[in-house]
Amino acid sequence: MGKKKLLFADDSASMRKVLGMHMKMNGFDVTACADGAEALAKAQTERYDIIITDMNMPNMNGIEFIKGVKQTETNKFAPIIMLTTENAEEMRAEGQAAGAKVWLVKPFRPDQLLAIVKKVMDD
Amino acid sequence: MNEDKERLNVAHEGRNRSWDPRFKRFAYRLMPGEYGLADKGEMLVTVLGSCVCACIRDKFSGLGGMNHFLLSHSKRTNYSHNLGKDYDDKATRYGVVAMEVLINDLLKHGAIRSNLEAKIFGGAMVTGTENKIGSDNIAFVKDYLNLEQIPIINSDVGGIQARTVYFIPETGDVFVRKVEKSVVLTLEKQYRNELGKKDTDGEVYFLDK
Repeated sequence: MGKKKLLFADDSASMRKVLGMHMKMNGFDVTACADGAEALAKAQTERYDIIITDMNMPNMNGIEFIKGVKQTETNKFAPIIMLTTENAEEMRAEGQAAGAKVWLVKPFRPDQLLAIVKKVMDD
Repeated sequence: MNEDKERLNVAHEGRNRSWDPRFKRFAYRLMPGEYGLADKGEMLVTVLGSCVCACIRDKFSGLGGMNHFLLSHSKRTNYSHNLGKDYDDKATRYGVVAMEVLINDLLKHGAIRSNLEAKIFGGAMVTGTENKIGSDNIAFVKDYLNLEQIPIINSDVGGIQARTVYFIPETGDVFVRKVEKSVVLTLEKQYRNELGKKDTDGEVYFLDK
């Protein structure tokens, strides 16, 4: 069995480093992008096992990105986790309507994220 | 602009806003763990011991904000200039968020990431046992801003005295006054205890219908 492929979008370089390092250590093949548009371009051509996205990003935000992903042939069924500092109910509802499976509020514990990733990939 | 102004004030909800006659501006006072943005005619003020604050602004629009936080809540923490490795440490996670919420809020209110510049303050050795905390805080902020490619154009960090920091985002000016540290110690200790008690997990919502 090959490595599971993770697509991750976050405009913070620190967050990309932190999460990238943790997920690579746990056997994932990580593709990290700095905004939604860049990540959507990846999602249109490559199939991913799991997608994690921030909410606030330049060019294309997390919700628009998720809507875009749901229209791709390659990743319309890939589970998506929103990872953000935002925690407003309306925003979570928007995330749910767009097709996110999980809303995780930063700061998160790296092992907690890993457990959630495994759970949603099994569902 | 009006709508923007309204949203800026939301970021200050519950915050102490008062007229400062010396600067002839409204001043927002930040407590440990808080952050805020300031508009034209306003300024941000905070008092720091071993805590640090980052004053970040869009150098062209003049929109800016300040945070005030502490990285280390325990003596175990020893920041090693490696965000990836240190993210496993709870205190570092809160530091990352303290920086991220400020930067995100600036971007949401129209700041351009490539225009951002920072000044950093604090991280003093205010008591013998807390030496490490101040320098860890400084190392963390520098490392974070470096990764995010936000230049640090000025700083006044370390030393043994507490500081009052006045930041005017509109002009980019910062004034620092050294102050008696006893005022700060109680506040920071309280904040550190609260941080120590905080849940280590992020809030999680499963959105399946």
